[in-house]
Amino acid sequence: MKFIKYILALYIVLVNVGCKDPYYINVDANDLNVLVVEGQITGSNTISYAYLTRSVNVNDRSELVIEFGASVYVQDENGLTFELVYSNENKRYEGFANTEIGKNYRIFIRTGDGKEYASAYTELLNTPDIGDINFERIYDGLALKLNTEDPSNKAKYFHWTFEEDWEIRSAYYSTVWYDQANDMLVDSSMSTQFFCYKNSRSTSIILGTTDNLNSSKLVDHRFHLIANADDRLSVRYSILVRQYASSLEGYKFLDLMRKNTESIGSIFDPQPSELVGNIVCLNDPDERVLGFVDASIEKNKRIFIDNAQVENWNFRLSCVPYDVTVDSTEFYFPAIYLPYDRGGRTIPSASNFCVDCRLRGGNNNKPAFW
Amino acid sequence: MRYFAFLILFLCSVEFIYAQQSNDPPITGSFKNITFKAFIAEVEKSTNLFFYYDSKTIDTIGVNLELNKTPLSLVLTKLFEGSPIKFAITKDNKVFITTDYTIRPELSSLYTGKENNYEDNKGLFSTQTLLDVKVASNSKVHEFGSRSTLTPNSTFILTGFVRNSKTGEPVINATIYSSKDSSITATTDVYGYYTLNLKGGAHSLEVQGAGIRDAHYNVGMYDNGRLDIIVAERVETLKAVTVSAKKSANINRVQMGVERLTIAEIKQMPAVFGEADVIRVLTTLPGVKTVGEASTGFNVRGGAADQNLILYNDATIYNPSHFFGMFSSFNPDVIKDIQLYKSSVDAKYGGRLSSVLDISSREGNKKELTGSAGIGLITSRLHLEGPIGESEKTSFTLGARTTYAKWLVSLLPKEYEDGDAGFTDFNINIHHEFNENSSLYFTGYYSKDNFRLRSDSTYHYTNRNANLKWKKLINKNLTGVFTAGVDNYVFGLYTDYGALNNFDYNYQILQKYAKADFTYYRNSKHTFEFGLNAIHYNLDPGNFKARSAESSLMPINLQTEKALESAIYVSDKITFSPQFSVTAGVRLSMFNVLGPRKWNEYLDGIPKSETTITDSYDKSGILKTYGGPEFRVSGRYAFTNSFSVKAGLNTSRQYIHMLSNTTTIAPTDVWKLSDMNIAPQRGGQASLGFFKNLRNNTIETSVEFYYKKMYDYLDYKPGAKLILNEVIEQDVMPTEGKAYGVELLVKKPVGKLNGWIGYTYSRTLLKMDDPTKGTLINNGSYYPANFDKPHDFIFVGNYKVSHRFSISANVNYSTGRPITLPVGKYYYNGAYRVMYSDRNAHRIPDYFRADLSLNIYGNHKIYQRTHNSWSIGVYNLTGRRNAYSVFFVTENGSINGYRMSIFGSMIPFVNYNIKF
Repeated sequence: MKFIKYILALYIVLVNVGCKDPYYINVDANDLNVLVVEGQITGSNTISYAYLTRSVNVNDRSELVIEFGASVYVQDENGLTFELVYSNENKRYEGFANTEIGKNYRIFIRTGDGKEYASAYTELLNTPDIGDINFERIYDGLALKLNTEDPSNKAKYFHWTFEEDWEIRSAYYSTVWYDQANDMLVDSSMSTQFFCYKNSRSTSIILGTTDNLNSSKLVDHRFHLIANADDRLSVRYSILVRQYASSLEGYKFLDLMRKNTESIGSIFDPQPSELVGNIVCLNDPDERVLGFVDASIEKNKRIFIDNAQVENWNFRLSCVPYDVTVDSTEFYFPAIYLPYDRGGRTIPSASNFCVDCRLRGGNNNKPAFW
Repeated sequence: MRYFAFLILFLCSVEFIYAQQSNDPPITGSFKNITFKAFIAEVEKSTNLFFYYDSKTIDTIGVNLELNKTPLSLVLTKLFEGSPIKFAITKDNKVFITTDYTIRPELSSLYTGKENNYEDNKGLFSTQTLLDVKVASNSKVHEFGSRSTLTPNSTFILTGFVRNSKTGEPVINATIYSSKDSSITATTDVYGYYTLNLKGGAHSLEVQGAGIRDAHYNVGMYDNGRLDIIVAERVETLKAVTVSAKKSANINRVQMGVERLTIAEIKQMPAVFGEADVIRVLTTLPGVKTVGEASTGFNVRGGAADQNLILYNDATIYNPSHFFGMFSSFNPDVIKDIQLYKSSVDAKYGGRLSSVLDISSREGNKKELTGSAGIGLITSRLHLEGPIGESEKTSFTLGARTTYAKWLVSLLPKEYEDGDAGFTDFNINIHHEFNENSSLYFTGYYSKDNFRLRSDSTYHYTNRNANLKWKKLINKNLTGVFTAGVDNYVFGLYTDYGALNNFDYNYQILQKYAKADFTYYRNSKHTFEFGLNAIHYNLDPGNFKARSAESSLMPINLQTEKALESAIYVSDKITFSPQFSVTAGVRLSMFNVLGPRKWNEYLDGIPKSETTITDSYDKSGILKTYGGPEFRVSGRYAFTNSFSVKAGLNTSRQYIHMLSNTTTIAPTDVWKLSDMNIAPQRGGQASLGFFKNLRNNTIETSVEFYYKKMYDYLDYKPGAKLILNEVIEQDVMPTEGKAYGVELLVKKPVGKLNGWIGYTYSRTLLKMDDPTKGTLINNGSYYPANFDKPHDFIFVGNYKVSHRFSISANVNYSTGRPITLPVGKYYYNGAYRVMYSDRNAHRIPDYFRADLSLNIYGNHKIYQRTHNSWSIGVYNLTGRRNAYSVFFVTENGSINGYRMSIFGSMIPFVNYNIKF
């Protein structure tokens, strides 16, 4: 029987069933240059915004094409308008709109070339507060979960985005600075190399609904997974979650976008289908415009998680310590190693990213809330 | 004793010379369809024998023999069996042929007790053993009625069963035809029953069929008669097979586009993991395609996968696949043959637009208990068959198959490695013969699959089928078959996410059916088929509930769908002349939507949606009726014995739709009945074919053209929700389709080297151009269907190196299937995402695969406890990573393109089979 098992095991090794290979398309797509609008109208004390971009060729590696020079307004049905202006920092049109729950709003856009676009009027929905945000150590990493409840049972569809900030630290605290220009070591407490901060935004579409539940309560709804050994939890982590109630149409739109672009590729997944949003070109109704503008109050909540709160996170930097001889500094620093102490005939050094956290994508801008 | 006989016949003809001291010269040679006179001339030429005879005595005797050192006495005994003709052989090589009395050559004392000797011989050389020396004919003249009463120009009907001499099973699809005029022909039905119209007088009949030896019968028709024909199985012959003259069934059959494969043919083809696959083999036939490896669903002449009616002994099988569609759910050991109607569908079949796949099981050996077992890398199989009781009237067949279990899943892509999978299937068939005119058949079928992907969702599905069939020969001209049965298909999904979110989802189809089919042979010009059938559907289209009490998941229970589909049909096979015959049929089908049911009424002229509901109803009774005639016409004109032209026209209606927006049949695809808001699908096909046989009918060639239209085929609105949707009509939209193609086939059905080469050019295009029904697809212009693969080339070959060793190879090339590729990308919700444009505007890379298998058989002694064979081979010999799909996915904020292949390398396999 053991023999049979061995044979079968060998067979499995030999037979390579089912595999995924990278695939690059060679489609000469004509430049579609479709206007893409991602917008959210919120309450009067949070920012309403619209990202205006253009679609590009799949193989296009250049920067995001932003639709500059447009006039963007939040409008209600009585002609009341609030302008959204372009923010270089957030790369979007944004502003405060003095809106009221229950009224209908839309976003109106006049692009630089004079074309006018508008989203469908949608009712500004109230969004319930975010309840507890929990985390659970699971096999794959750390699962972040949230709770929310709308006692009025009006908000049934939810959409979340988040911003993450986390601290990272180097493996070695350096007391010297390598002056590359002069190839010399300068005594300095290099806290800028030791304490760093990183941040990122949600990149996947996070949705939830109570429509299929017999209560208006979402319990422990998983919205994020931090993979094992990720540096997010190496020291301290913080996440700001923004919660928006969605209209059914807005929810369906994002859900289809998610299916089309994120959960695809297993044997039985549905084929991609066309996305139809709620934006039209007023001058030319046949022009293809992609995107959806929804209207609801934004609710947000921030939590912090320390490394100590998570069991066995096992974040490790594989550092190679090395004693660099004085005559080889120019060769090794800073491309391979960085010094962390002055030393004597040799300089105690280690792999550069273990000494300077900025080489790991960190920066020294400590967030205000830290 | 049997063993002794065997020894004599196979191992040493010397024994004969010893056993019969008298002069009994061995005869060797091939004597095909010649008169006895010509036979004598041949024998006299090659030996020093001299025959004495009266021409009148022997002129009714035909010879169709393959002889290899067969003693003359044996040959003559066989030839004269049942006739008053006697013979004697003298020591000085003289042969005397006489009627009624035997000449006793004075010098041969051995022959004095001749009659007794021959009795002995008969016992010794049973029919079977004689057949083993290739005496495949019966020279006896079977006379019906009296010659003296024959009136000119009268015609008579000859009926009977064709049965296997060894097992007593009926031989399906055997052709019986007159050797003088091959247009006088009949084919046995699934019960082995045939009806042949013959002019009064003498005829010689040829019997041919797959897996049987050719047989020859002489009949004198002076009245209607019944002739049960016993034929021998084609055992692996020890000498090269000589092909008999008239394999011309493909020329003469009126139907076109009917493909038939026996299990022997299926088994010799290389198959993935060495599992002989009844359905996958179909995809090697012209006009039958599949979207990829992990799909047992198949597409016939541009039809969708749900437009195939799959019948197993008349039971509808809704999911014919195991394990992601990698295997079909039919145990090859209990299957006898499969027949696919891709163009001319008999009027008795209906309910699906594009094809009927009729799978018949073995009927069971009525004489002794036999069976087989197979051990492969994926499954083990066992099958048993044999008589019940002593009477040889009742027989059973049992088959079972199961997987080894979990390691199967380790073959799947890595992300599924926590999965689990298993499947099993079980068949039981019982046949009881009340008398020669009345038989009862019971069929039971069960198949179950369950598998878990990604460790938290378990899918399962089960087919359960049972039916009872009574076949009655009402009189010489009229046969009736009465069938009643139940089909049940269940699938479901349950999860293990955690107590709060765990759910259990189930779907079920239950259908009960009854039908009566009659065949009426009026005369040589008209054969009628008529009957009626009804199916009562009861669908439980979705039941969703939480698995634990603390969960707040809301239960969903979609309302039951009930309906009645019924049909009456009549068709007439009209033989205008031996060259020209036509089958014309009409089927009237009707579909009643039955209540109680709730439904919505929508505004006309705009797409159905929540906002266009005008009214809601909740009623019982017959809520809606669809129906209409379906025409089934085909004709044949045979210009010569080896060339014919056929044409056909078919229309049909389909009242049940599979909802699927995946490219292949997924285990969670739901079936939906037509209702107040969803109209039945309709379709029609016109086809034309040219059939030419070459080299004495040993090579069959054909060219077939077809053009097809489909209406009200369902497509889906963007983001359609197909599961647990109470208002599914809001998410589907009817489309229109057309398909056309040409199929070229060169087939060598027999011989040391056999197989076929096929090439198909075909297109399948769909169109959604009605803005009142939903969003236009590709601006309302035609776009290729998922399974549109214009070029398709197939080679299937088998070469018998020796009787114990054969090599089979398949080569398969086709254009890659169409997919929707991104035309651009855009940034949304924090990441780049792909933008899709025209549906199915691009194609995945072309498909190419070559397979090879070696079949090694044990020795061919007929009388031994077990027969065993090995099949060793390689699937996907070149190891090509054929793309199954290409997709683009946003991962961690960037777009990655992937090409997924089901088989990423060559797949060696080995299978051991044993027959007992």
